[in-house]
Amino acid sequence: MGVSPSPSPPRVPEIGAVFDEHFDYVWNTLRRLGVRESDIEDLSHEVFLKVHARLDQFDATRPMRPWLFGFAYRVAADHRRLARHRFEVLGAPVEAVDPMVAPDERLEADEERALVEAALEELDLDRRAVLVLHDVDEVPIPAIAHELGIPVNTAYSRLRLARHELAAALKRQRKNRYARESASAWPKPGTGHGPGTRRGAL
Amino acid sequence: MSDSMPPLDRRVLASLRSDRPAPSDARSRVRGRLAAVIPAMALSGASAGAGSSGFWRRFGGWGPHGMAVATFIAGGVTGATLLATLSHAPPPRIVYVDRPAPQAVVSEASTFSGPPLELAGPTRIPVAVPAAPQPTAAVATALSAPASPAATPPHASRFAEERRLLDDARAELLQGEPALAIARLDAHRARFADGMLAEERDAMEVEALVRAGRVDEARAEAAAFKERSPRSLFLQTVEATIASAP
Repeated sequence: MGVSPSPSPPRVPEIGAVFDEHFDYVWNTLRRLGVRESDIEDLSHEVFLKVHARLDQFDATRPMRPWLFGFAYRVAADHRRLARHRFEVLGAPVEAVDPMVAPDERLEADEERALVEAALEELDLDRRAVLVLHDVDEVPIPAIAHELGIPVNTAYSRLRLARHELAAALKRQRKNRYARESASAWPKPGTGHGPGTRRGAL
Repeated sequence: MSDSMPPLDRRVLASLRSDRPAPSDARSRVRGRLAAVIPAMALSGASAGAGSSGFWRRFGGWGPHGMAVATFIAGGVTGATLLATLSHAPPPRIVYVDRPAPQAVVSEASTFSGPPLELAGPTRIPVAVPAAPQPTAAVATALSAPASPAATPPHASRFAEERRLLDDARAELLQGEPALAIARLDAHRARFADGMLAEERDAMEVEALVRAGRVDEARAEAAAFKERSPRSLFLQTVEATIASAP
């Protein structure tokens, strides 16, 4: 009776294949972690260099993205530690236009996304990382704790705080936007219209 | 736990999850930069995607020798590309110098050579240029007098590229990333097997291997280095590195 061969373990992918499949993911993750658009290219290069150096340590039985996220998170954290990067805000994104979406819907979606990104920018990076991994990438909390090297309870705590803070930041951002829109709709003094003018005062 | 966990608004979640494709030109640039230091990227880039995976898998099936052959081929491809690029470059500008070239080389060499693998602190090597590889006068001229990119002689480009790779490797060693440094040094070897900075590369590799905990390989490299370059300025450093290895 022959012995059936045991299934071979999954192969670790080659760096070229990892790059081709996950470059967009790394790019978007760095963006969500608050890296400026103009810096994402350099930092994604840095991420893949580090990935290449550690690729033989990747456990191919586990999903790749949380593992990649760990690299992106550490690279982004190092980047933000530099004082000159610490207080910079996400730049206006340049993106392809989906022709299937009506312009007004697109505008609304863009505004909403800009608002969410601005609110996200207010979050501490550690909390933001857990929120992005869990709520965007849908990675379970225990796996997040494993990838980020933190206790499970800490990961839960960061997620809870991140959601609270995001909600509060969104509220502030919406309030600010409303105030800006109201102010811009109000005629400027000297234009000859509206209550801000002094026409006929003399 | 879930009682105190506030849910995220669906619109907010949708905004958070909206991915954007990375700009294709940025993707190409990053791939190109990676290919400069990772030979596997250079080859997989030629036929990106599943086809390249199959190609590398075949080499992987040959075991360690397969990867060595693949690395050799990658180096060849990179070298051929470089040669093709240089062959289309305009002819080098001829500059006459009125003093020997080594002077310009000394400052360059003394910045990076010497017991250079004492990574912290200034270089302590005296000016001992005669034993070091002697770049040509053209290189020295190019180093001392920056010219427009179009007029840069090929040798200077080559030297600068070698220098850049070793500088990057050194920076990675300083940052505690010996694996990255080794990868970069391997890339240097693939492109510049007998390069002007080959001795410095090999000496640095011994240091990187020690720092990566691959002491046996470091010893083998050091022995090979001694046999290959018994009068090298770097030999003393290499021996000191091995002597201090755990």
